[in-house]
Amino acid sequence: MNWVTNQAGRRVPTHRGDQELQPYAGIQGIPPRGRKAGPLIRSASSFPDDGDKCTPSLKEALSRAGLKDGMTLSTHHHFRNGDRVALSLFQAASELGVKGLRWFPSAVFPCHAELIPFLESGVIRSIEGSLNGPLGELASRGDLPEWAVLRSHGGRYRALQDGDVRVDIAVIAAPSADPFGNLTGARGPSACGGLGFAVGDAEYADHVIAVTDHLVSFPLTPWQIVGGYVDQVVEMDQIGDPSQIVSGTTVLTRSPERIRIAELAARFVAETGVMREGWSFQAGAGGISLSFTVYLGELMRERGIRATFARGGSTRYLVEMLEEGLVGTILDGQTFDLEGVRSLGVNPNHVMTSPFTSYSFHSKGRFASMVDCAVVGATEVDLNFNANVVTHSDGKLLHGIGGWQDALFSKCTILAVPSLRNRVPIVRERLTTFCGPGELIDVVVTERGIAINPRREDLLRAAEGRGLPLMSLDQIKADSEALAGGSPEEPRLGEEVIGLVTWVDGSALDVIRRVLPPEPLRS
Amino acid sequence: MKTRVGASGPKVRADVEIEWSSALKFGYEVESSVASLYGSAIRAQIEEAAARYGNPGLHLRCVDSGALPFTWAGRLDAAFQMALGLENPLPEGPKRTPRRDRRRRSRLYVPASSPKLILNAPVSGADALVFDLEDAVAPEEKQEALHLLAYTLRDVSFGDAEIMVRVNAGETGLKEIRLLAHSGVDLFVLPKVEEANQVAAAVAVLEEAGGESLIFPLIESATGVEASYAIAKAPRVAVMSLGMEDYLSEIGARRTESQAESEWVQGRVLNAAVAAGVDPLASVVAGLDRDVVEEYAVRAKLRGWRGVGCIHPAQIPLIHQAFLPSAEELRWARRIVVAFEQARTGAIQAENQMVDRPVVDRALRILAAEESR
Repeated sequence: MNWVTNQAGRRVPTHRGDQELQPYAGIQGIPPRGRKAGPLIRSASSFPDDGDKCTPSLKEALSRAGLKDGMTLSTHHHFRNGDRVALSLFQAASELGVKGLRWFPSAVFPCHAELIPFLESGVIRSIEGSLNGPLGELASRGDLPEWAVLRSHGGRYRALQDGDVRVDIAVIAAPSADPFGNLTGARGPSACGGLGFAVGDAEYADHVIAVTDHLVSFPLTPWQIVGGYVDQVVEMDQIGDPSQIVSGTTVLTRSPERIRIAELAARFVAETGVMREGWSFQAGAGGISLSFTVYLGELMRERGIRATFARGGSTRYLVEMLEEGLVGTILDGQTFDLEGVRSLGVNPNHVMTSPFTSYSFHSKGRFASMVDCAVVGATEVDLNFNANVVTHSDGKLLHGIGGWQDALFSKCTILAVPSLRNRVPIVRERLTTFCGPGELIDVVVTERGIAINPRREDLLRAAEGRGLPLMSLDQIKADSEALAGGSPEEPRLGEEVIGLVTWVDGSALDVIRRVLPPEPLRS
Repeated sequence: MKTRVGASGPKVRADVEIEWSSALKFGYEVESSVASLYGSAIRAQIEEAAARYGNPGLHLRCVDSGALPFTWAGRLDAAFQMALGLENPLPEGPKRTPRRDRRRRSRLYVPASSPKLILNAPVSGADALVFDLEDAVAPEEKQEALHLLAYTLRDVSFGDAEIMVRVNAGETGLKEIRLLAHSGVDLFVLPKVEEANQVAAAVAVLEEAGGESLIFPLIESATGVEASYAIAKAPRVAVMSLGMEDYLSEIGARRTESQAESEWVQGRVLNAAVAAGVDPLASVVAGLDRDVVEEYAVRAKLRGWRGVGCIHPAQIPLIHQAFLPSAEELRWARRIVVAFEQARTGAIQAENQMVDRPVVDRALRILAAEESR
């Protein structure tokens, strides 16, 4: 394998198997050439005239789709930790005696630990995507035969457009479907909101199977994905566990540290004028993001400010702001709770988006860069504001990229992070894994104080004299290291590469290596 | 017989559990979530502590969830001293000069046994932190909490916050005061004080140890209330408050939102404190709801209390907000001060009231509170 140093200063391989890799060349990306990949050409005359594409079982549908060894199968994470479809899919594939499959999920959740037996038995050979939880640990130990390839949501869509990944069979879980394959996630007993992450697979996969636990008669309207993309429709007892779809990520944090970080971030945008009449922001779920949204709501109410739109994950807090008139439109990338699901169904100004509309490098513009402010997390940040979101400082691959890289393109990107995770300081001399360039990260908010990227002289000026606890990253690093007893040792990593981190344009940003077990601490 | 200190488990963060057993020679084993990043530092800290105790015949089994060095130090000291039956002096903390005249709008109670909550304290923004060795700590954890607290005070910076420690009642408390006399404590909070002699006993311990800390008695009983003026007049008393739950339980009343049941006792204790020239501080606000906290703090301020006790950092900004002068108060205060300065006589008429020195002082206090916003 040949290696080069990319523009982020990281050594990356020039090839992945026989596929050539471009080294990361900067935030603007590698200029694209040629044409996008095209989907397989199909004919309406090979589908039933009555529009009934129902197949009795997933196993039968996979047989009809011509499932064979080595194919690439995709599923999506609309059900988050309640997903049952990936398990059903590989169970069916296993029963058909197929081996060596490549799984191309839009994201992986802890529930997918159920797939480990299929990795062990060889039904699944590789996972083409971000890994986290138990599957990430498995990868970190070096127990997966092929690299994990980490892409953002936008990067995944781009990989389909570039033909980097050709999906043989996409299995789309739909909370409501009709026999023609019109699909929506907004209704049905397993309603989960928008199906945006499946849009690319519907457009580009060779064969599309929709699975549903709520088959309604044609025509299902309004649809989120039109049946013209769908080959077969399979009815199943259960496609997801609704109680896990709405997961803990939408419970407000009670951690004083996280509350303080969220409050500081909200005060920062209010005091510096990033928050102003007609502005826009990215909203998320999870401890700090959710509290940030709540604080924004309070400040906007207090100051009589309205946002034109909010982009990102919808929750009841965002829906309250929409229905109160504080937010004009929700551009919903992912629906996080039942209030979000309800709102998507009834509010005309709450609309589903996809990685194509919001993020993709090959789209003609992206919503993400039009957003005035995005608050995201990180596992590490270095003194140049570069950040890591996938591995911990011990090298373990524990998180996916999600929409993180894509969201960095907002006009004011704030990393909201605690200065210490237990003993480990978040500000590092050098990142364990490079995931996002500091040119796109404007502010780091910790519970100790706020560091503004020196590149953003405008924000530095705006923040001056506003009573905000401004600090440098060096200061935050020094303070947290003083408490932690110095900076951490270098993690014990093997030579063997287990994963590749790509930038939104598909270029190679960094590699992830196998984690060696720590030396036993005893005497 | 206790053979372990600290805590471990799936929900525990930033702590270490140390279990000891006797052995032929000193040894240890550590399971740590940060072994690959801080393994050498952990090893060095254990071996350094063991050497201080002469590498005794003990085997330590440690389960670490990312404890910081101050936690490791406190837990290791507790383990060695409890295992060996020692009671060595606690480490000294930074030299502090306790001050009577401080702003004490908020005082946050922090269990001295919880490293995670201790770490939230520096960023809470509270005017004062009360590290609690009394009610917040289970009886079997009191001794190890004392060790953790001493290292906390030595190693963690709490910025401008005033440092208070609530000790246990009786002899245990006096011993804790003696051991912590040089740990950097501004005020010792004495629970269940019923007579001035209890304060005198604590002061005697401090004087003997050469400690400069001030005293904050808590009145928590009917007898204490009757003696509150004498208690407030006792030496080194800088602050006084009322332990509402214990008091109401004793007289057979129940705490209500209207506070009707405590109108009298609040006035009584507040008056005793002011008469003795010490800071009167209101009891801990019961409840986390925004409205409850705001209303409680506003009422406390209007009554004359200079601060409120709290148990969650989220309460602090609400309390501080409540103690800020309102726009109306500010307007009033500015007019009074201007009128008084222009007249330069003992008493004048302004804002439809007789303005003499106490009124001017109140106006000046309001303006000072605004300036320190």
